[in-house]
Parts: sequence; C-alpha cells; structure tokens
Amino acid sequence: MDSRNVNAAKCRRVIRSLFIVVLFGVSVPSLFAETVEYDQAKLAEIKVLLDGLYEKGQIPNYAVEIRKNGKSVYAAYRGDTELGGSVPVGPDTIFWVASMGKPIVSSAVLKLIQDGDLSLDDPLSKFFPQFESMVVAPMGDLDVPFEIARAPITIRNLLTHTSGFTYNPLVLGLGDVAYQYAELEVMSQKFSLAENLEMLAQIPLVAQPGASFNYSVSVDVLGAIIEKVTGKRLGEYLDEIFFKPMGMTDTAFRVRPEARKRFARFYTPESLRNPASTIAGSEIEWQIVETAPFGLPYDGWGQAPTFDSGGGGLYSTAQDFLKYAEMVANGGVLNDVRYLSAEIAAIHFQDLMPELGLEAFEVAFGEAAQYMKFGGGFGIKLEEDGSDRADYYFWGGAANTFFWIDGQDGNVGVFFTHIWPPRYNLSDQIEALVDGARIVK
Amino acid sequence: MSKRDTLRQAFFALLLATIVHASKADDVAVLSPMTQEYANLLNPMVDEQLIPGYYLSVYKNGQQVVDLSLGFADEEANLLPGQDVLYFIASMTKPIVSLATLKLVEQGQLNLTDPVKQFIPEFANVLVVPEGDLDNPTEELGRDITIHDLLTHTSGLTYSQDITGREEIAKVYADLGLFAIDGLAESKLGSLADHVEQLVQLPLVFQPGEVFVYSVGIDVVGRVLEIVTGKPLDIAIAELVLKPLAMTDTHFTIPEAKRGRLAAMYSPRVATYPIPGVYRRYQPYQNLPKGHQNFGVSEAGYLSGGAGLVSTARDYAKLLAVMSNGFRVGQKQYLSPQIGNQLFRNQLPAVLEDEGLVYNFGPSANKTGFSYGLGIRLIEDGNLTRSDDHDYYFWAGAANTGFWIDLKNDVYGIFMTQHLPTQYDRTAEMVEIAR
Repeated sequence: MDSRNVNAAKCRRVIRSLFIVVLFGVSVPSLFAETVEYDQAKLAEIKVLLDGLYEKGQIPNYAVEIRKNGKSVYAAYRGDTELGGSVPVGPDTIFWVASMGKPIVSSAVLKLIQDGDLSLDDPLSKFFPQFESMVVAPMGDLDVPFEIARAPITIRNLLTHTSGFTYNPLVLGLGDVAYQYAELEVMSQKFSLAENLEMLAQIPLVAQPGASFNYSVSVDVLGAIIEKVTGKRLGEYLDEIFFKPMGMTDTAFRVRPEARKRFARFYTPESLRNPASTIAGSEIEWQIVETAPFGLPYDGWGQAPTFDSGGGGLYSTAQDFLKYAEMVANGGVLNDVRYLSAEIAAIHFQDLMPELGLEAFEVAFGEAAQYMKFGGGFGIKLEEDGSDRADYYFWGGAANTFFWIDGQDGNVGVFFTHIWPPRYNLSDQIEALVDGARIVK
Repeated sequence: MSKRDTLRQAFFALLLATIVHASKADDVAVLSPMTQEYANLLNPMVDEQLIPGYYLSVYKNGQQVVDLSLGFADEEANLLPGQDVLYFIASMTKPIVSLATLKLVEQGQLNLTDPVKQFIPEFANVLVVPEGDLDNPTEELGRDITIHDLLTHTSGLTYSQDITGREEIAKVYADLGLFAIDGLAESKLGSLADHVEQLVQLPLVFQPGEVFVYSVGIDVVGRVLEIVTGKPLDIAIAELVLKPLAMTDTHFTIPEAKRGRLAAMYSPRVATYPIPGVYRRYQPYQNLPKGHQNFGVSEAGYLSGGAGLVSTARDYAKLLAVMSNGFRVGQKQYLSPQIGNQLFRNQLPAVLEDEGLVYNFGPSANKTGFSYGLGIRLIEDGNLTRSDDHDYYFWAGAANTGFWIDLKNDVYGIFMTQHLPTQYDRTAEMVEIAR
C-alpha cells in the first residue's frame, strides 16, 4: 500500500507540473476546426430515430438540436409539454436538467481558479475544516474495518468524483454508506447546505480520496465552496458570471411562475399496476403514464429550493443549454464575449485523473462506461478504437436529458425528454449520426 | 479491495454469460424458425437489460414446440431459466382457483349463483360507496353478491392501490395491507379468514353486477372453498386440482428441498444514469423477508386464491392441456365439458360489451371479455357472444408471467420471468408467432 501511495503522489506531482506547462506555456487558440459541413439527409436520421420512439408512445416529446459556430446545424422538436396538452415542445421548453448542472458548476470553479481564488489542489478542509480528517469505509461497506483517509479531499477530487463521497442508492450510490445517505437524507432540500455539509462530514467516505471514481454529491460540495469564496448564493453567482450575460434566461434552480406553462411533465413506462390512459385527440397509443420522480409530484418541481443544488437542482431549456455548451466548446467565448480564458476552458476536456484506468468507471456505471474518462466536470467518451482521441465530452440528467460537445469539430448537441427513471440514453447514437453526417473534404 | 474484486469477477461472469449466450444463440439458429422468431421478440428484453432472463414454453397439438430461455432466473445463485424453475405466478393462481370452484359445482357442493352470505354471513350487510369515493353517499346492497360475481370481478370489491385498485377505498386496502402482495410473504393482517373479516367492514366500490373491477373477489372465493370443504385452501386446491392434474411443483409454500429451483424476484431499478448506453434496469425486489429470493418461501403469509401460487412452466402446461383437451387428463374425464366450457364464455354483464376491462387495465384492454379467472381476447370486429370470435384466452401474473390458450389452433404457451410489476407484456405478439 505504501509504495503505491508514493507512486501516486509522484504521479500527481508530475501531472501538476504538466499543468503548469499547459497553464502558462502553451496558448490554446481553438481546439476544433472552424468550418465543417454536414449532410442534411444523414442528419435527418436523428428524427427517424426519435420519431420511432414517439410514434410508438414511448417518449412524450423530444427536443434535439445540434449547433456549430453559432448556427443551428440541425433541430427537431416534437410533442407537447404534457400528453394531451396544447403547449408544443420547442427550444424554450423547460426541462429539469438535474446533473447537467454539474458541468456548469465545474465551469464556475474553473472561473474562480482563473481569478486566483481557488486552485485545483486546494484541500476541501481549507474552506470547511470539518472535512479535515475523514474516515473511509472501503466500498461503502460498514462491516469491514474502517481506514483513515490518507490524503486530503481536493478541488480536483471534487471535480472528478474521486473525493470518496458517494450518493444515495437512487443515484448510483455505493454500499451501505449509500443507504446511510438515504436514511439521513444527506444533500436533500430538507436541510440547509450548511446542515447537509455537517452530516456529510460525519459519514465515512467509500474510498480513499483520489483512488477511485464514485459518482457523488461532490458537485454540491463545490457549490458550497463557491458560496463560501464568493459570499453569494450559488444561483446568484452563476447568474452573474454565465446565465445573465449569455442570455440563459430560463436556466436557474427554480422555474419562474410565469414560465411554468413551458415546464414539461414527467413520464414513466406503463405497467400492469399503472396502465396508460387514452389521450383524447391523440392518434398515438401511449405506453407511458405521468409520474412523480423521487415521489415529488409535478407541482412540487421547480419551486424555490432550500439551497441551490449544483449537483442536481438545475432547470434549463435546449436553447439555453446550447449556449453554455458552445461557450465551453469555443474555448470560453460566446458571441465574441470571453467568459473563461482558453487555457482554463481547456481544463474541461483534460483527463484530470490520468492515473485512473478505464476500469475506474465500472463500479459506478458498469459495462456501459467502457472508454470513459473524466475531465473538469465533463465525462470524456473516448473513441472505441483504443486511441486516446475523445469522441465527445458530455453529461446527462436524471430525467433523460443529455448534452455533448463533439471531440473532432466541437459541434454541440442536446437531446431532452422527460422519462423517469431515464431509459432513452441516446446521446451516443445521436452523436454517432452527427459524426456520420460530417462531410469530409 | 476484496469486494471490488468480487464486482470485477461478477463483471467477467457477465461477459462470460454473454459469450455463452452467443453460442446458445447459434444453437437457436439451427432450431425451428418459430423458435427463432420468439427469440427475436424476447431476447432484446434481456440484451437491453430490462429483465435478467426469461423462459418460454409453447405447445401445439399437445406437443411442446418451443422450449426457449435466455439469461438467468436468479443471477446471484446462477440459476438458469427452465421449465422446472419455480416462479411466483401471482394472478395466474386465479384460473386454478376458478377451476377448483367449477369442480365443486360439479360435485354439487356449490352453485355459482349462491349468495356469498350463505358461506360468509357478514357479506349480507356490506355497504356500497359508488365509485369507491368516500364523498359519495353510502348505499345499501341492491342485491346479494354471488360466487359468479366474485369469479368475474363484478362483485363491487376492489384491489389494494398497490395492485390495480384505483378508487379512494383502494387506498384504504393499501393502508391496511388488505390482500397485499407483500403480505404473501409476511401478512400484517393474519390468515385468509382474518383478511376476509377485515374486508367485510369496508364498502364496495360499485353495486354487484355492474362494473368489472379487478379485485380480491377470487381471494374471497378461496375462503369460500375453505368453508365448503372444511379444509385450508392449500389442501383444498391440492385435492381439487393439483393432485388430479399431477401438478407436483405448484405450491403456496414450496418445500425446503425445492428452494434451489426457485427464481429470484426483480423489480424496476429506479436510478439516475447520466451516461449514454444500455444499463441494468432491474434490481432484486426489496420487500421480501431477509434471505428470501422470492415469494413462496415463507409460512408467515396468508393463503391467497387470487395470487398465492408458485409454479413451473411444466406444471402450468398441465393445467392448460386439460383446458385445451375437453377437460380430460389423458383419457380420463376430469371435469364435465358442460361445466368446464363455462371458462370459454364471456361471463361479464352484457351492458359492459367488450370494454369492461378498460376501467382497470387501460385502453389496450378493449376488445376483451372475461370468464372465470380468464380473459377473452376478441378478433377484429368480433362479438363476445360468439365463441368463434374469441381470438384467444389468457391471463397474466403481476410479476410479468403470462399464458395464452389458442383453442382454434390447438396452441398454448407460458411465459415466465420475475419482474414486479409487469412492464413487458408481449402476449399478443407471442400468440401471433405460433400461428
């Protein structure tokens, strides 16, 4: 164990020095090719794919759009915000994008690093001393001997879900500790952020910090650090640096009452226990019924939260989210306004934990996570040819929302519908269709 | 570290299983085209990780023509699906209890027109709250509830909200744990008699004979069988049906020695999944007593005529054989066809036409009638009163098991998996493939 740790520490030192090179030595003008064209007939396959699901009554609606260089490359919107409703789904339909808030919060952390207020290897305990000496229950198992955390939890760990925190079992949490999160309702809206942190500090980690990937409440902890450093509520800070200047008017930790009519409802597959009903005037035989994710009925969603959950509390629209994705893809610039320096924006796409192999994601995500690495708040999907080339950078939300940034030309895409639990994780297929439609000259 | 290794081993076991399946798929390819068609329909459910595995058995002219499986019946125990694997068949218990009732009718111990109060006097005084809405004024019974009403779900009783009950009173059933599915493993309310005692305190949701409301009616029939035979329901069912049909693997509680053949119960895995791709969408069912992989293990439940049985595809095929074969067991007449054939007639009030089941099961259940524990699917533009128009007979269990009888083509089939609640009903497609 000891020699391994020394190696890891050495490794980290090397990586840190590499970073310094990246930060100060090299300028990163643009990651991606400027001009690119797509075969529209091939892009139309996206609609064929989604229409198939819609017409079979399996998804209530969909919003899909691809943009490149500030222009829409492809867009298709279909259905209403509610089965049998009269508000069509469009670029301004509001979805609960949930975990897609994680990359945005990560971008805000990078902004604070750029401003010199934070650094990647700052320990969490610098901001919240209660996390100074943590206990580890390996694999979240409470029946084996606990360990003492051998390294501090750092900002880097929080950005990459390698802090050792986990989630409750509904969000892929690990072991008995995940059930402790559920029982104590850690990081729930029942408590203030301060109270949530107090509880979190008293629960064992499921792994040594930096040792493995565990999908986790880490981004909520980053939100707390942002609030501490800026003295502002997370939503207020994100408004100030990103949402307001970019015109992401419907992106927030709540749904404004006047915008509520544009907020899509949630659906789940029908079952013998819960059969679908006929929707008057609809020719589709629906195989879904309205549902209440996490037991919270529709009316409860979008209300002002107790705390701004960067990890899961965000609402947004296709047109809003595409702006954020374009800003990141363009190296920190949107519509000629610079939000992040090119060097800082590039961190989104860098493997921040290179010592973790591809198997690091198996525990949380199983087989589907082959070829996955993790950057600054973004999942990195590698090409499946064994090379290190990124196919795309991405993340998804709990109610079946996804976005991605292409690794080759930097086009950005979203695919939203509201199915809970998520079932149509199709971003890989849609992204592949876009790849296939690119015209190589 | 050791746990992680276990996980990794499990991952490799899964890979290995995929390889085994691949070679198995090659075997399937050399089997009949019909089997291949079934595999094409059903295998994606396993490949997409919606269910851990399934078993399908189809018989034509009394011979088994499809014997198909994929995946696991119990992933943890590495139990493969097969025709001798024990599955919790839930509402597929209902046709067995219905058949037992018809047997008692033949023996002259019971008439379908008998009022239930003749056996359970408290049924004389139950009240009705129309539509099960507690705000509606209470009514007295318009007429007595009969055995026929109980068997056809037109008694005015309902089910717990956890099953299919949709009225306000179904919520009261749920709160009490009245004929609850989880009560089959551990009953909050005690025995079958105790459940009935509680049930008669609650109002009906409709007047008897008016509306098809999927219900605990057949559980009440189970209690009537106990009273008529003077024996506990498990013994009564064994004597009336299971023994005569040689259904040796059908039990309310399985013997300990058969535990290794019992499938595990699964339910939808409710989890966020922020990355693309296919992932496991089921997980072990959480509400069973510790150490139990399924229902049918515990003695602490109640004897449920509506949902209590565990059986195998091989055993259930014996029941379907008797029903398809003029109610003979081999050459021997088990039940007079005159009585048995009541199972193949629509027994619902004519006023419901072919829309009676839509109330509980949604629009996909139109064009359907009901006899005793058995649904009747109509052909296009068919009429329930003409048996020639009956496309097939079927029913399903809450844990995604199902069967059909296609009399005209002399086909019957049984599909087994364990996913509570049913989300993947492919009966209509399965019927077509065998034709």
